[in-house]
Amino acid sequence: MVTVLKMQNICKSFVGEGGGEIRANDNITFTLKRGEVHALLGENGAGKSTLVMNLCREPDSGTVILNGEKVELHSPRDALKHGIGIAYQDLSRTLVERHTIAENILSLATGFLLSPSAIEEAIREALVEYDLGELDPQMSIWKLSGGEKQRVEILKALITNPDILILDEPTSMQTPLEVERLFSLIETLKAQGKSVVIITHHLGEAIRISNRITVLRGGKVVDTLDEVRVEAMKKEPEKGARELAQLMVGREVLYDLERKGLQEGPIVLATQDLRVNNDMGVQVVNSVSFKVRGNQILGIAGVAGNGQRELVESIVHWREATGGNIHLHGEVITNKPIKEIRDRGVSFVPENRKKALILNMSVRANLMISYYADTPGLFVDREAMIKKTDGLIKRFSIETPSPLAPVRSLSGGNRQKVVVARELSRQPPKGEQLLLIAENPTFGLDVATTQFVRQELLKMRTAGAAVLLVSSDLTEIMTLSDMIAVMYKGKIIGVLDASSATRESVGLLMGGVVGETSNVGEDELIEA
Amino acid sequence: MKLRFIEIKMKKRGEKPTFMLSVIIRLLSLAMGLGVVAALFLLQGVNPLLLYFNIFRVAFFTQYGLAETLSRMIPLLCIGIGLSVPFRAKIDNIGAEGQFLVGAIAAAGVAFSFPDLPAVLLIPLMFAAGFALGALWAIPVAIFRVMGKFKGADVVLSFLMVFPAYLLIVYLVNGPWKDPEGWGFTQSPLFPVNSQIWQLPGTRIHLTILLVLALTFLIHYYLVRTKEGIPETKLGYEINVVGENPEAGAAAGINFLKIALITMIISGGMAGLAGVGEVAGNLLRLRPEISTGLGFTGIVVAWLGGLNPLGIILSSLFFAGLLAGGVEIQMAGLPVTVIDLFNGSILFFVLLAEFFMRFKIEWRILK
Repeated sequence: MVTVLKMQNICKSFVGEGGGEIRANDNITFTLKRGEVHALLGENGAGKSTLVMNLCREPDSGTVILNGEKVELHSPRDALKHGIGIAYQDLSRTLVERHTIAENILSLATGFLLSPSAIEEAIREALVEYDLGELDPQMSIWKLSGGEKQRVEILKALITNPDILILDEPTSMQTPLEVERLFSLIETLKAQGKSVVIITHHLGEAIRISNRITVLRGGKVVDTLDEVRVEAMKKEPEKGARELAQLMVGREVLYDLERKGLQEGPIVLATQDLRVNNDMGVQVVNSVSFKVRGNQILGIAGVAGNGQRELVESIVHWREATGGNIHLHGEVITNKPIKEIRDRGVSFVPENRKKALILNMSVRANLMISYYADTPGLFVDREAMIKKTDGLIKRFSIETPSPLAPVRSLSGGNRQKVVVARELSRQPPKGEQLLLIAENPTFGLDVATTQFVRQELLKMRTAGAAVLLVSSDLTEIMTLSDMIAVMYKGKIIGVLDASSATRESVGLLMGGVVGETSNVGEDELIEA
Repeated sequence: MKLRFIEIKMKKRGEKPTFMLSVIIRLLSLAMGLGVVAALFLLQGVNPLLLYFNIFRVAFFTQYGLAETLSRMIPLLCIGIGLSVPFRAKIDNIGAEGQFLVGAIAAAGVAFSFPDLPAVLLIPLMFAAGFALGALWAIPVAIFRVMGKFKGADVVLSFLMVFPAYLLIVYLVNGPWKDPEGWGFTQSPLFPVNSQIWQLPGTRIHLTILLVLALTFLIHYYLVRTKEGIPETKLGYEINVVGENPEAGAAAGINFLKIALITMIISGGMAGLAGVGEVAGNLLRLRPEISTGLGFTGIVVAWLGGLNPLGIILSSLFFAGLLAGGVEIQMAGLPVTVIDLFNGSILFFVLLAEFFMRFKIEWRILK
């Protein structure tokens, strides 16, 4: 088969919030053949979306070769002209919410005279041709469900009849039936000789639909699996998923952390049939029940985007729980005011650092946000706050020129230390245990800081806290947890005791493959 | 042919600009605003440099002018300081004009209802009523700013609430409070003697100036000033947090509605106080045209002063000077509404300056 697209030695870096450089694409070479479906796999932050975005903006370095010719693509319009249709992942940035479907697609039209009715007609025809289901071209985008929006985005990419179609996580909000339809559409396109790149982190889907698979990790290509290997995987999808999961999460070299055996404490947090929606209004946490005890770390494993974020955010009420209950120390705290929940001894290290830190304010002001209200009255206890924040900076060795330096001027690792220091030092009410929720606490950190954060989490466990650790990093889950629950498509599909769990068994569950090992744990968890 | 030959990038500043740099940026923006107006003067055949010089001379270097400047400064400072409080929490109150007007109404209402109370009781009562009504006028803005479905409607709402306040005055001075000896002028009778605020003899500088300076100091001391990076009060800290990153504030459990309500009450209340001072200390009558846009000028005053009480004292002095020196504009043959030109163009550049406080522009020529 002929190579239609070759991206050679692509590098793309971003300046991180701390001024540090993030190498999102580090010398990536990627080829796409005519008439093939090529899956790009990898965790969040692996560089998948960044890679395909290089087709509509210039990379820092590297060349894009299209049909044997070197091209420079400066904008989405350039990509369109060269026959590349892209359905982007971040719909809030590609669809205009207040406009109708037709108006959104009108933006692709060429020429000076625009005819809404002609566009609407074209949309109706395309919907039938590509079997994308019912969509009213005159409907405003904001009225659509997440899945419908995704279909509009796919339609937008298809309607120009491109030779190369790029789908960035096209199935994340679709129902199984719609996924089936999309997959048969992809088959049809393939038969017509078009080439498709599909980005996903669902291993099963990748194996099913694609001819070749490229796995990315940390901005680099880990491996490209050729047709023969993918074909072999199709025969044994379970084994294939396991292999892919291992490629995706990799193995980090870390010193061993000391984990003492501890007596389990009382139940601190328990959820019951918890249901939560994502930002698009799609339910992504489907009846999740689990419990966390004192002196225990419950690790929630799973490929990012399976509802973990929504789950933890609903516990601290950053997000509304739409159903079910959350119990803290036996009392219902579902959708209570954030302050009330936090005052009962809940600490949260979120992945979303934008909500955890105020970059323009000083290290001290950021640290005291969890403590300034500890004393009654209208005034801040200045002496106590200075002592407290200076103590935290020292104990957690936060590298800052001064407590008054803005957090913006700190490196990424030290920023995370600010959050960790603040949240891990909070005192629970007398006689109760702290609940610590850590969501990908070491994401994007260097090895030393990662090690430090993990050690601090273990210290919390020893001190009696109940720790709920959400991480898409399998190594982190395996080294820290007492119990491991695996989340897949909004459900906990398996619970394993850490002593008996293996990388393989967890990795398999992460890919959505339910084996026999998992059932025991799940029963045990729900029964209480 | 390559069309893109220059690359321009906006970059967030890593550090906050230093104090000196922020002063320079603001002064530059002020100069640009004056420059734009100067260009318009030139088109009218007026020498802008001469006019600016005359305005400045009259406002600050003549006895009459200086007294007038200080008198004009009272409401501007009061409104500007009040506005800076919600502005710091990123809540837009552009309706100070309406809050000012209802403050004046409250003053007139109290004055006409209890004309026989001794001044020591009556005047504080008028200020209390003015503060309360001004705050009441501002509260819906806070609610609209925070409550789910109305987000973003605060700007429109705070502006629209100016008009009912204005029409209420029109009604009152044509109806219940019409001056019987007014010869058909739309105005109320003269305020009762006990309700008139004491003026420095021979000037229109009234005692309200002490109240305003005291409030300025209180807001500076309790809400703005930081020592070791920590403000005096929890409220001061929360306003900073909410203003810098409302999401992080909410995530930490700070109740945005509470902050919005408190800051809007302070802001609306102070605009109300300014209204009381203006009618009871200066004009001594209620008239529909008492304000002449002071509430809107207050917005510019607050921003030009960098939302910092000490800066606002200077910027209110500057704008008061423009108002007092306005006679010179008329002498040059231009309408007095030219003052609004200053307001608009200076606000434009001051807000632009805010952008340059946060971002810097980098550019390079592409080879």
